[in-house]
Amino acid sequence: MSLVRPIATKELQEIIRDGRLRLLGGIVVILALAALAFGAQQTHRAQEAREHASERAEKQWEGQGEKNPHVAAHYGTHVFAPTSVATAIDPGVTAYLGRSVKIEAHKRNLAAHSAAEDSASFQRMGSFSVSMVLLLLVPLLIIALGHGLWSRERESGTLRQLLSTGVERKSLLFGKAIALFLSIALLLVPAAVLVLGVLWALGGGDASTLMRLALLGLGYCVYFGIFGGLTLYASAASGSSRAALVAMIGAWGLFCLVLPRAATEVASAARPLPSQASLARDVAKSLEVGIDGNLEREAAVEALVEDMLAEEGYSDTGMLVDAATISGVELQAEARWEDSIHDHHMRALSDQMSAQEDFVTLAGFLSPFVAMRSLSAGLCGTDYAHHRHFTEYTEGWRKSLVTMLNKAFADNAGDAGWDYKAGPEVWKNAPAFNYAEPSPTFALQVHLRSVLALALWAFLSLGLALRSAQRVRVT
Amino acid sequence: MSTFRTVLQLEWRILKRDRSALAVLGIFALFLILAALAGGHQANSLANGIERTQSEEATRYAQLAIRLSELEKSETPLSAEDPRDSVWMGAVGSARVASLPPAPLASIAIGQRDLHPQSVRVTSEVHLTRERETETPMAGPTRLRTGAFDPAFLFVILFPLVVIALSYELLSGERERGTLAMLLSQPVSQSELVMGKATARLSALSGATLLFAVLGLVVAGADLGAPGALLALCLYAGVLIMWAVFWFAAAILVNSQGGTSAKNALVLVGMWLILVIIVPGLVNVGVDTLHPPPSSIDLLHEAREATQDVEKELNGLAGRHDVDPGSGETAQRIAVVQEELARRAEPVHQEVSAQIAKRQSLLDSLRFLSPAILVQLALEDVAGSGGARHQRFEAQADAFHDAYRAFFSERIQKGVRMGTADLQAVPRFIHEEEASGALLQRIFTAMGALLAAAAGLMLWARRGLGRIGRLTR
Amino acid sequence: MVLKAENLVKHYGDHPALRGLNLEVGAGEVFCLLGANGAGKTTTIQLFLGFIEPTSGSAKIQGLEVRENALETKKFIAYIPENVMLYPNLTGLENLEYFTTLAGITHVWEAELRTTLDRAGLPADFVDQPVGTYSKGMRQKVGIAMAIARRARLLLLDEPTSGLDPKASNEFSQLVTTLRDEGVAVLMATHDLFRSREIATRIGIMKRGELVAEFAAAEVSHTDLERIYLEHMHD
Repeated sequence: MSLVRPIATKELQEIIRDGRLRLLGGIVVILALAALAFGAQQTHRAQEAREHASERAEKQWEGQGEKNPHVAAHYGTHVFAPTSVATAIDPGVTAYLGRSVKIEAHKRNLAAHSAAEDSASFQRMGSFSVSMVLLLLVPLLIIALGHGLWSRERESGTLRQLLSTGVERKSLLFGKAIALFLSIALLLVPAAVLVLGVLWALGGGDASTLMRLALLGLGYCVYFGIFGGLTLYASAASGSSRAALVAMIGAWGLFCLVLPRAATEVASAARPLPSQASLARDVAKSLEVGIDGNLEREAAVEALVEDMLAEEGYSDTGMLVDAATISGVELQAEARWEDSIHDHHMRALSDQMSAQEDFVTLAGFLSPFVAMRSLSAGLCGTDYAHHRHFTEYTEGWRKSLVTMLNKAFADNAGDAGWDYKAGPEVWKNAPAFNYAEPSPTFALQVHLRSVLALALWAFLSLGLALRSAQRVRVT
Repeated sequence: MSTFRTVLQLEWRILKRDRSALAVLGIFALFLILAALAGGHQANSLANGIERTQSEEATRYAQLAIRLSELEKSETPLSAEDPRDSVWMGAVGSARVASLPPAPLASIAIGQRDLHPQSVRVTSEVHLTRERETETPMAGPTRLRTGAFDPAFLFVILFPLVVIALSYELLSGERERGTLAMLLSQPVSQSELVMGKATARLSALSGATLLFAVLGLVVAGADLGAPGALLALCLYAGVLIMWAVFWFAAAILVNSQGGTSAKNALVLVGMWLILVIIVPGLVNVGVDTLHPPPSSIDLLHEAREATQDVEKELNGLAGRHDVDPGSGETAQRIAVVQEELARRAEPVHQEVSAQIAKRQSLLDSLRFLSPAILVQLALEDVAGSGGARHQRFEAQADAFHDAYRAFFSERIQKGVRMGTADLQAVPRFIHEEEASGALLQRIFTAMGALLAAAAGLMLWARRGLGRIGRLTR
Repeated sequence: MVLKAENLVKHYGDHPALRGLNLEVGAGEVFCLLGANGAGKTTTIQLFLGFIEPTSGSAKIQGLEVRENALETKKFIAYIPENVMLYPNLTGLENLEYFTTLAGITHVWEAELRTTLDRAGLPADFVDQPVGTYSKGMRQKVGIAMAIARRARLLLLDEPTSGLDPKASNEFSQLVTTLRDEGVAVLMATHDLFRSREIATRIGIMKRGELVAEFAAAEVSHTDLERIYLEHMHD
């Protein structure tokens, strides 16, 4: 085993001396850095745009002038999804999700205005981000560096010479594996340091972000290890270097190109989503006759009003309640009714979307690319689960805002009724919108299946790599 | 010429006995059929959505006509949701659906159809943004990010790898097997040899591909008898053949440099990676950096601020539950305010359109940077899911929206009630297909560019092929 | 003269592989080139095949300069290297048919090709087997068959018998002799002193890119030939 070191040194020397491979490695690093620069610029722009838009929305809200609080609830406002700094590494599915939610009375709106709607139609051919370089190109680099590690020794006859000296096959394997790993590390460690610096500058120095990045780094190491192990095995098992190369490029194409598309296609057929119009029709129908279709809107709202008046202690006393209070309470009761309907349908929609996303991750057991891609987006906070986390917070905030306005109507309108107008002092009382990203544990929990798939792949590839040492034929 | 034919025939024979080549072709054919099925499924679900809305519209109009004819006789006062009330009719009752019908070969490429509405509900409301309810089924974010498993994906991304697998050892394989020296000791020039071999492989591949492409269309349920289908089919075949020619030319160039088969494979896969994956990504990045897409959020704010005072009035009316916004004077005032809203929002919309046009023109010129982009766009054009067709549809839908609103705002302002005749006269959306000349021009440009690129590669390869000695060793 | 080299010079970069070779081979003549590895034998043959271009001097076949008439001159040549490489998935007959058609012999009858293979000594039960199953000797025989079928005027042989067992080697030599008697010119590079004495009409010894000795095969005995060869190899 003490021979591992000289073997690794010799392999590393060979890899480094090969000009073609130096060139390929250089290209990958340059692309990664360009992607980082672009990602950082986009992230910075998105953060600024969100800040700017939020300020603007706040100004519009506070400067909307004098009006009835419920009219103000109709006027509404907008809230914007935050852009985590890790978006610079992996934008995940954020471009395909709405980034803003319109907040208004009576309606729970879907997030709207995704960036993808305005992009070129070939955007799906090649997105350009650090994660894509890591997910797609680095495995190819590993294949280019590693496909000849066993087979070239055999072809040049050096394997015979080596084994005749009595060196153990295992030592050869470890030497080769270490050399492959070091050559990739040599390229990526400096790049990773640069990534950390850039994220720090974008404001990602907090413990949670660092924890996410550490997990991300670990995940990618495992991912590269999987490709390294498979490549070593292919190099040993194939008849020639050429056959090993062709087989591994084929496997890469299957893992990274074919299976992801096929899996999402199957997932969207197995867990179909409704159209916006049919969702709207369903919601409208439920609003009239209830979710199960046997409740009249009027009666339901009436019952809610009774309940609420009872809560406030009006019903039994036979007290005379002023018109505005009734209006305010009625509005609030209506809002509760509508909220229950919207919540039901939106939960069903979100559940279906989550189910579709989950279904895709099943393909992680067939392709390490699919598993790592979803884990990467999860750890960067750019997957659907994080989006859902945000929209659920937003909905809670919407309810508290509308309640606050209806309460202001009920409490202050008095005899003026619908002619009552509130001013900025009420608008400024709007609850604060303080959305915080969930913890890294949240991401791991959501992507447990992908973690499991990667672990299985890692075991498989480790086993194959170990076998490769025995498998390789001498002549 | 006879040498060429001999080489061609022999190459055919070799191909027929080459199990790995047959396996590659077989796997690709299998994928192609699966992709055709997936594309057909998508195209059908889109078509079904459109059909559903249209039939919904037809039944709604029929019911309205019956109710109108009854109400016209009775002369009762207006009630809620009364078809005689032009305000309610314009906003809800007689809403029209403008749809972009799927083209005959729609299953080839989904394009941006999963992102853009294929049918929009047109009412007398003013839309500040493109936030419109559609019948297009929603798609999950990962599905959108990944893209569809449609024939266009297979052809743009995987097909070149198939060509590479069939051609990377065109000459280097003969050299490594030792047959190249035997061949070149015959009175055969290297160019004849390469051309014969490449042509045999090209024709085998094209034949198999076109066969399965057409088979795919059939299993996807495409209507090949529809008007324009035959032309589209010819263009489809033309684009695919040009795309194969381009990659064979690249393989000939790489082979003419005299490297080993393994090196040729690496170089060709590298070329593929650059042209098919990296350059399109960089073009996306370049366009996004130079001309960022107009921010819909900013647009929303601009429009909101430009119209704030008017909207205040509108909301002052719309949010009050004690007045019915659907009738009488309030309705007339809402109509007037809506007009004003549309007028004020107009400059913002125009600015956005100008921004989008600038992006589009930059994209139009950058697409020549990668033949893969050309092919993707050409296939989308053939499938009727291209950007140009959709933009035309959007423009037509906007014009129709204006006509629809004008029809109702005239009646609302005059306080006219709707009658059966008026219901008949509500504008109807008829999608006007682009003249085939423009489509032909776009696709021929793409095919011409591919051919020119292939010719350039071949010219370059000629220099290497002239130097015989280097290749035999 | 079928083949003629005049002051033929070939440099690979700074290294001279051939320095002013003069050589003539006429119809019905077998010229054997002897010499150590790297003496320039293969370079000479490749120059006549047009696989490489001379630095200076001329290589002519049937009076045509090879460099300027790369395709025309090949119509006269049949080339048999140390290893005749054929398409392993095709049968011997199919390989022969292909190469013969490439040589410009357009109307070839299958029966004629079978006869040729038979004449070249290929066992009949192997004619329709894929070449992948052939021994080396069988492949060399297909090479000879190619020369016969295309009626070549000049045979360029580059160590054609190396690695063959004595019987196969003997059969090969017989075939070359037969072709020689039919008026074919033969230029053969070889290490086999015994064979060259058997079939050659003239023998040349090459050393560092030059022809250092040339004599008629009939003039020397086997032992003489070995002595002369070793004398030249010394110093």
